[in-house]
Amino acid sequence: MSATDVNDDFTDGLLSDFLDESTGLVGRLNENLQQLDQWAKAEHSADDRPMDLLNEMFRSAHSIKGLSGMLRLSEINVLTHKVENVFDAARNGELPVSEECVEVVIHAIDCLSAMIDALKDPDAGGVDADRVLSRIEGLLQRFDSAKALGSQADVDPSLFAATRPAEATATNERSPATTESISPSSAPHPLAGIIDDADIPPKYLSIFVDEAGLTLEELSESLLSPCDAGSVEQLLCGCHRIKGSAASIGLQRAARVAHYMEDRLQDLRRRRIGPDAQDIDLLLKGVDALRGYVAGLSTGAPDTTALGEVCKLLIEGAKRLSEAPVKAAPVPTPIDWKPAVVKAAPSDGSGVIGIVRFEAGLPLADLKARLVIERIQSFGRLFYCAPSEAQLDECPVIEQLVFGVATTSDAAVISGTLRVEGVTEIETTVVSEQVREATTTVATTASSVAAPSAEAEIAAKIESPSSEGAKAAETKAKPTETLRVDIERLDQLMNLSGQLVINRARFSQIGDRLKGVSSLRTTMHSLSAAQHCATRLAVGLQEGEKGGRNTWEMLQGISAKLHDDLEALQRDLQQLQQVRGLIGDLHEAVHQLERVSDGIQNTVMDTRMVPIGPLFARFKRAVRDLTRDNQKDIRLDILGENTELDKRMIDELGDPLIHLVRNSADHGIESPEARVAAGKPRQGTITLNAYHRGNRIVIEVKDDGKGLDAEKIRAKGLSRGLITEADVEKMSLQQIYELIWKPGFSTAEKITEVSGRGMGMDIVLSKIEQLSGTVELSSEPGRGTTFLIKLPLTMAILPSLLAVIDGDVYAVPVESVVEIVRIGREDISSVHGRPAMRVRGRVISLIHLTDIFGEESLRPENSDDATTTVVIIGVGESELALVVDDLLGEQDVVIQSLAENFQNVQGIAGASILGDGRVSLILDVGTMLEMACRRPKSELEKLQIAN
Amino acid sequence: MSSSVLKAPAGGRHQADAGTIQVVSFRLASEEYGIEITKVQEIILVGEITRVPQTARYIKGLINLRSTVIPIVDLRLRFGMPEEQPTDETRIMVMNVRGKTIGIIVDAVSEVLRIAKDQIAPPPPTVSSLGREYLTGLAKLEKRLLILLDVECILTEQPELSMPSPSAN
Repeated sequence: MSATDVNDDFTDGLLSDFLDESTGLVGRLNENLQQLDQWAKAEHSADDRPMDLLNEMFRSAHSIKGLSGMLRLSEINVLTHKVENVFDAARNGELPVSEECVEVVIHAIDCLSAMIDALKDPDAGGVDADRVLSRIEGLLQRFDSAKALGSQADVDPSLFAATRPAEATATNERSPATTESISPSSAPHPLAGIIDDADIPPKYLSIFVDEAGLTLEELSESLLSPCDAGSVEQLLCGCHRIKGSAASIGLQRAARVAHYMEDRLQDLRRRRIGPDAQDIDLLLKGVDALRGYVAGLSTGAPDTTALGEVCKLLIEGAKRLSEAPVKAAPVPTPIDWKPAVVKAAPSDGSGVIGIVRFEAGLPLADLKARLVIERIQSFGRLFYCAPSEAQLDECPVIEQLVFGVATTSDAAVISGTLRVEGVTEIETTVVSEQVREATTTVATTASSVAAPSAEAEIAAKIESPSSEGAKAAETKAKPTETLRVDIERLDQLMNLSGQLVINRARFSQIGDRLKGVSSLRTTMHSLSAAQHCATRLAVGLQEGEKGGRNTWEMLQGISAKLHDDLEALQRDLQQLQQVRGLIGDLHEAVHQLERVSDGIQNTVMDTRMVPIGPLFARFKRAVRDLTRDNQKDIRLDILGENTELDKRMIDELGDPLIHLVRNSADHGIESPEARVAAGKPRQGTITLNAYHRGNRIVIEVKDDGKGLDAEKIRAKGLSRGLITEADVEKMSLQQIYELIWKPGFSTAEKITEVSGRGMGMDIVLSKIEQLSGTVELSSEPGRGTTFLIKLPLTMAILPSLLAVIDGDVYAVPVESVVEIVRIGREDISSVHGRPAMRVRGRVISLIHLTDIFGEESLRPENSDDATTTVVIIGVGESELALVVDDLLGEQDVVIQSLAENFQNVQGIAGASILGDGRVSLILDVGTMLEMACRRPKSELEKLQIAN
Repeated sequence: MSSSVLKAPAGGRHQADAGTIQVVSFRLASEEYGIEITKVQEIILVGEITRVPQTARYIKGLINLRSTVIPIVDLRLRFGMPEEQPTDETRIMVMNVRGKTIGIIVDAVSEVLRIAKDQIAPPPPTVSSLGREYLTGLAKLEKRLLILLDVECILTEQPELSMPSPSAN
């Protein structure tokens, strides 16, 4: 099957999967790179290597390589392969993890993410990776790494179908140095010793469950349809995909089984034959076992026995074929408690690992165990402990305790300390490179001989990871099922729920009006009284038959008619009464509708919420680059990663945040020398934090640098003509700081690569305002600067105060309303010809909306109202008292952009449809304040000219 | 808000082909104008219009068209004619222009006409020389003249227009 045969739909789906997965993997790689970078900067001995980190990065790179190979993205495949080689070489000690090495890898990963981005946008130009490739090549060759040789040919063989023997990947996977730490080889049981990562985040797990489920379906389908040499390719893709994604989240056992399946398929492909019945049978068993395992994952209790069996079968099958015997025949390793501990050991420090065995049936064993743990902890940080302290409670019988502690103390000293009553045997080992070959065992035997049964038990425990895995899974939350949805659909759903909110408001308005209909009871009463009268009239007439017969008859006829009419009226009224009852029902129904629509609105909003963590994580990299460029020492602290924001909002926030972070790093934080001179720690700190406050989300960008330089800002403001000398006199410190938001402002004395183009801050401000947010800034000289970005929970729905101004209804965002006051004439005074008012000691200028917008007012200039209703609106420090005619109350309004069918209007944030179908404008308070500040000046100028 | 969606007469554009165009004709003061039917989405009655500050005078404001907010242009004001109180005949023609939905207020909507291309003459030089690109031509009907408008030009950002004074003609 050649590349062109691949069904387009199939690859399309795969491509979006690939984009998803690889973006995540690149993110992780980047994160790990930061750690690696720090590691490389610290002092280390020559043969010390951050194994965990390298392993994880190798895994990530390998996964991308596998996925890209499957999709025939040859450029990415080649690049990731090189990167993988670097990690492998570093892991095997062939390449020192130097800063230079990290640098090369960082460039490679940048290049990689550019390539992935290019895939997302078909119009984007290609990415030239040659330079990066040659750098890696150079790096590897310099250190004479064997990996560099023949690496081109080593690229995932699926790219070069049938031209390379299967050993290519096999070598890669199973070179002894590699296997040892990634997935220890197995002897008696093919999966023994292969342990799944204990803490897979449920999120990833559920993605894996989804994807693996789909792939397994595909696999079994193609296995069940007639197979030929061509379908082997497709099967291979599926197996590789499962292998890649399983390994990337640490499900080593599943990955191993998929790997064996892949081996077999590769063998078939090499021989250019289709699978025979036996092969299909075997592969189907593999698929079934995996399916069982995956299904188990989603319920929280994966079953691995089937996996093990299939594994055995596959290996046997491979032996049977044995034209190409499985390389690296499983080497029996002694049953040991060590691998797990060693794996957990931080690779950068020295440590001691060991096992403490307790007397069988020891009373209060858990307390003893705790005591032991406490003593161990006195030596250093406990990085491994099985059973963990938390698990001690649940364990009915504790016979042993495996521990690992980061310490420099002597192993013998530790084992001496741990000798507590009831301990039968203590075995401690110093963690070093050699431990991986199991040496330097300092075994102190407390009492005579270790009971062999105990040892066997431990061995059993380690050897059957399935039970361990199952237990770990039990304590973990069940992974939630997920579904990928096009964000366009979510947008549509959001719009619809917005309309629902509008309609709901309309209903409740109608309901309120109906309720106002006057009570009919008195009417009923008077009617029945009238009826009574009519009856009496008839009776009276009957009695007084004195009058003329004709008149009497006529009168009687009238009275009878009156009676009938009244009766009919009464019937109608009774019906009306029923209607009234229905109105009550309507009210209830509307109430219900409100609840449901609120629920829908909230759920739709929740659906769009994603944590801000990944966005923040991007800045780690930016800060690192900056520190390198400007020779500063800056640490980025990230808090509140789990705070959730609307997806669209997260997308929009990247730019303004990076501006703020760069500004802090570039202008805020001083050089290390200056910091030390100022008595501050050498390392500067930038803190990113996100949290909820009330109905808003606050994002905080804080640095502990020198703070804003008011003098410089003032001078710059003057030179740029943003303020006049006269203004300076009147301005508060805060007002001077706020100048940085003005367009065309920049305090950078020298223009650097990253900031200081004089266009940063006003862009930040306008971006945030587009999101209906605000930015507050506070700065303390010598202590640092803090920016608080406050955003609404969602972009589409805004709690607002509805106010009638000049006959029109305007919506004022509640978040900008400071207070509502009624003031009398006497509260209004005049400051330099402009009205102002005093509220609780503050003087706030009083303004009409028409003044701000510079329009003719429709209302009489001097109204006779004794009192005026005033809404004090404010953003940050500045406040303004807005005169309103009337207030209609608070309502959630759905923002509609004016630009959608019209254009943006200054001072107006958008429009919304009210319950009665009318359109109301939403005031953009931030801009209004600016406009209001601008106007008095121009009027003063006019005055001056006039004079 | 009542609305009537315009439907092209049966047979429609297929037979209309290159020879004829269909226009919706409407009245503005004493003149009759025409706009190509493909641009017109629907015709509605004038309802409540929310004023928008800081916009050109001819922008009457915003209305709610089935949960969408659309701007309304007063064509009289756009052409520099005196403003008139709406009458029973006043209508809003809702147009689709460059992906945006916009309404224009006209004095009355008359009918849908089919006009042969050869009935259309270029606007007289006295008018076209004034830079009125939105006038695409004059359709000479039996007893009257129809001024054909290009909506896209009318609604683009431009300073308010003023009618040429009679002396200029």
